[in-house]
Amino acid sequence: MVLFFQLLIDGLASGAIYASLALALVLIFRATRIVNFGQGEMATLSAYCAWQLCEWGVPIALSLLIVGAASFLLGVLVFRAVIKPVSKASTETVVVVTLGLFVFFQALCLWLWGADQRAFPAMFPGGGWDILGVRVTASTLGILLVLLCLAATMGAIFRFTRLGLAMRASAYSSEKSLLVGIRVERMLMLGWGFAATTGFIAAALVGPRLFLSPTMMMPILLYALASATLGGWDSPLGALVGGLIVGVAESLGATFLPFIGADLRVVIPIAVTLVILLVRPVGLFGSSTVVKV
Amino acid sequence: MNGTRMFQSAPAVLVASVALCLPVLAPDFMLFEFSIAVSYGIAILGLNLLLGFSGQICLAQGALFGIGAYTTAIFNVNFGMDPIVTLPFAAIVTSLIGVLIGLPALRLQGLQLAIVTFGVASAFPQLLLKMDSITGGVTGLAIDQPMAPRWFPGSQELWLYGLSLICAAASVFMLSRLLRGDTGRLLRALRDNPLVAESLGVNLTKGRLAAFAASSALAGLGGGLFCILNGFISPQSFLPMKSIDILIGGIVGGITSMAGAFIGAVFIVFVPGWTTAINPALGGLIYGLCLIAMMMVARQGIAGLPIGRGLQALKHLFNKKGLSRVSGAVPGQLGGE
Amino acid sequence: MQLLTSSRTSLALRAFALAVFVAGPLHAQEPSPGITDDAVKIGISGPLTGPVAALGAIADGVRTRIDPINAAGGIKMADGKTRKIELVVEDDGLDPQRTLTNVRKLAEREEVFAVLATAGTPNNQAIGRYITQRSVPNLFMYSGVHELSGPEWEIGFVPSFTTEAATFAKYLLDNKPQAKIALLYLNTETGQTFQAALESAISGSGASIVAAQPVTSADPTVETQLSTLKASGADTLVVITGPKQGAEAVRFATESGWKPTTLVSNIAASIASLKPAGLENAKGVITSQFLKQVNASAPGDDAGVKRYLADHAAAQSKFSTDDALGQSGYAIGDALAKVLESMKAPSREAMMEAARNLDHTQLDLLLPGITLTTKAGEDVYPIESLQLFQFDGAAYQPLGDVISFEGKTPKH
Repeated sequence: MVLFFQLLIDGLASGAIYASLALALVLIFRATRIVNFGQGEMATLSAYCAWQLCEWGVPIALSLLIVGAASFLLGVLVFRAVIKPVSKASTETVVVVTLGLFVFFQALCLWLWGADQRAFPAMFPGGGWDILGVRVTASTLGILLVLLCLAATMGAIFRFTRLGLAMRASAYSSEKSLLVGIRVERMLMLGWGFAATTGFIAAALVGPRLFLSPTMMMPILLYALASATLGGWDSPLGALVGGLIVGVAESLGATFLPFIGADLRVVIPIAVTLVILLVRPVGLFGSSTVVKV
Repeated sequence: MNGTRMFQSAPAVLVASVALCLPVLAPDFMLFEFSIAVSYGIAILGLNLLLGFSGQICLAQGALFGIGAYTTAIFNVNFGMDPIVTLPFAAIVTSLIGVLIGLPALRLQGLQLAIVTFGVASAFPQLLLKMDSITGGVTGLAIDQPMAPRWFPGSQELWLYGLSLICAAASVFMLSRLLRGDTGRLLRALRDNPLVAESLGVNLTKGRLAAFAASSALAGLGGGLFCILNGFISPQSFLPMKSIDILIGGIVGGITSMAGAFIGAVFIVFVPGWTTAINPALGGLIYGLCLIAMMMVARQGIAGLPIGRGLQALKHLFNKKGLSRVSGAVPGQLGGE
Repeated sequence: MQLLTSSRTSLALRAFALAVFVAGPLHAQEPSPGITDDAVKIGISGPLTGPVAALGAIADGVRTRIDPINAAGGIKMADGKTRKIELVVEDDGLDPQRTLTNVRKLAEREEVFAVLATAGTPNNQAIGRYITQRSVPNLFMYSGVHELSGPEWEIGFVPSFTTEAATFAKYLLDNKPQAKIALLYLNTETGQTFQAALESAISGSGASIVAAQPVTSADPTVETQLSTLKASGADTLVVITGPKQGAEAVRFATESGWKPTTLVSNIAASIASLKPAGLENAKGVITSQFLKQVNASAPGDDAGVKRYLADHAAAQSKFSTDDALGQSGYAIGDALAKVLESMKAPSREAMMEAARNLDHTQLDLLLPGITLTTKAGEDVYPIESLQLFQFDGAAYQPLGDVISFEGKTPKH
């Protein structure tokens, strides 16, 4: 029984990791209708920059602020240099461009810092509490709290502010938005910038747990995509909930389902996603778009 | 009109002529690399069918490729079948599994389908490892390589290259037959406007499943060929990145072009080696930039580059006759129609 | 008509075959490709790019050892000639298919004399048939699982994982005979070989494996497996995974309050890999080594280590001095040099003969007491000894003497 609850907590902890990347992916999708496969690697690059600043003696809070701003600029830069030129092209072209970003940023981190894993400075105090034999760490709770605030903020901005409305409109249909007077390009730029910063926050949250390395975010990508799909690509809160569901399902399933076991645990997020999609095709919190024929 | 047709099929003609001249120009080990490229090309052809012609994103093509390879290997190792004879079986088995994947796809929209199929691709190597009694697990499977018959004048590599070309030609032939008829129209309707098609009475379910079946059959054929060429397969060759590579190959080559499939295959087999050769330390960086640059220059893939139109423009230079042309790709155009 | 033609053709073919046969022995006396009077060409195929590019340090390590030899004029071989060693390195991203393509390219276009330090078990398996057909030596493979599919032309280097498992078992049987072992293993051949060897080494004793959890290289975290292992009530943790999962295991073992006796395989136990887990958490971790400890800031007075550090600085190697993979590469380069020196003739057959009859060859970076020993037909594993080390919070300290399992590695 204790094992069950321990695995539940472990699942929430892993789920928080998946949810963090999922949040960044959902943000960029909501703002630009593009799934950026390179999001994780861009986040890793920012995390490395923060780590490097700390190594050079800059206090951690300041490093996070500096790199947070820098990652916003990185997002804008990537948008203007790479995405804007192909924005009129088909989805497939953009997919390959984002894959190119994936390869590029991972190789960049590898080249600059080598393949060894590093310790990322922790933002939350270590240690935790032992509740009836189940161990809960302070960092897990901290990460969940930060993600909750982030998701709520994102959701609120998109739903309740004019800026959010403008961003959503630009993503949905750039021509019609231009007609209405929205500065589409600026909205897209903002979207990429915010997404990059969110990605950095995600990487900073999970870095201490995952150990900073050029391939840190790679195994997470599939789980993050599944989480976002599960929760609905329209909803930041959905990404968070989706991540937690995936984490818990995977943690419990890997241990208590012997025919899956820990080596086939990657099947679980897919199976869970599939089941939920078959029941509710837009994801748990997604909103279905009504298309006029 | 005849002239326009000729120029539109420029990529296909180019690819075919290069393929035939290769044995003369290239040394044996390069023929081997090209044969591998052809096997990937057949799998990419399947992806083009699914993505380019029917508008469904399937990121499990690498796993289906692997299933074809393992089918060939298992039939050869366990039942002693000649590897070449196993190829149709590889195609059929993979096709059946592809339909299984296609079934849930009926309910899923584009992005979701992509992610679920990517999940299948991620689970595939682990499944191979788990089912090690059949698949040989981590040790992999080694097959008897079909030797060139005694009457064949060339080398073993040439024989295998010829075999690859025959498989490729068969695939292209079957695919064009498929696309020319009703099924082809069905698939194009599926991609361009499924709602209208359905309201006109088109059976989309049948179309979707047919697309999956055909696409997987091609992936399986490519995989079986891959197994024959290498003589040894292991789960390490079928990681999720392989599905991504096939996707990249398809899009870079031109997702609506049959010639593009093989151009893209050559891209993914040779370009990573070239970028590393330029600078070993920066190899990955250069490859990433290459992908991005490629897409910025050739929006519709390499086959979509206006080679045909360029040649045609050249012809106009001499004829000095201006023709009014509709610019851009005509919906439903494929290289050679 | 047709019969005549086919019989004439087959006659011609038979005559041709005979001619080749007769010419065959003559060919054997011709020099092997890749070796001239001034140079010998060696090819390496390894992952230089992609997620596993860390293994590319091996190729760099080989170059670190070879560069000073070339700078001094070359290596003096048994036939009296001094030759420079030319290294050709190709990238394969650890994909076995690309390894095969690269080895073909190296053998046919570059015409290398031999292939060296091929990393990865499936990669070596993929090229096994080819190198046997073409008689290309595949020296000093970097794989702890020796699937010697082409034994006449292949030889490994790093100790088999069975040796490491036996070493760990010996420690446990000596110090904790009733150990309840929890095993965290990689679900590839590495982990499976180790698991089987550990089980057979402790069979019949009081120690037993009470829980075993697999890990895949695609797992984001292994918290689930570790919690399950902890719940099994084991008091010993044995880890045979990659560096990332190894570090996680070490951190978990301490932070969760479990604190078992922890033994970690040398592929995951370098100080650089454990540092992110917290060096305090890593205190007490036991591992096995066959390479010397290299501490660049306090090199000590070991001549081999000093030469390694000097070569590293001169070659401007891209890996850090305490990178175990780079060190292994350096040792492999060293072994290559020794084989080249002791070859009786400048031919591939002579190279394999020398490699398969190493008589306690010493290398700079091998721990004292560990040497390369092989004997054709009996012993195909160069290194079959290991020494246990224990981490004291800052460095690894030796734990007991070198344990030798010479001649005892089971055939696969």
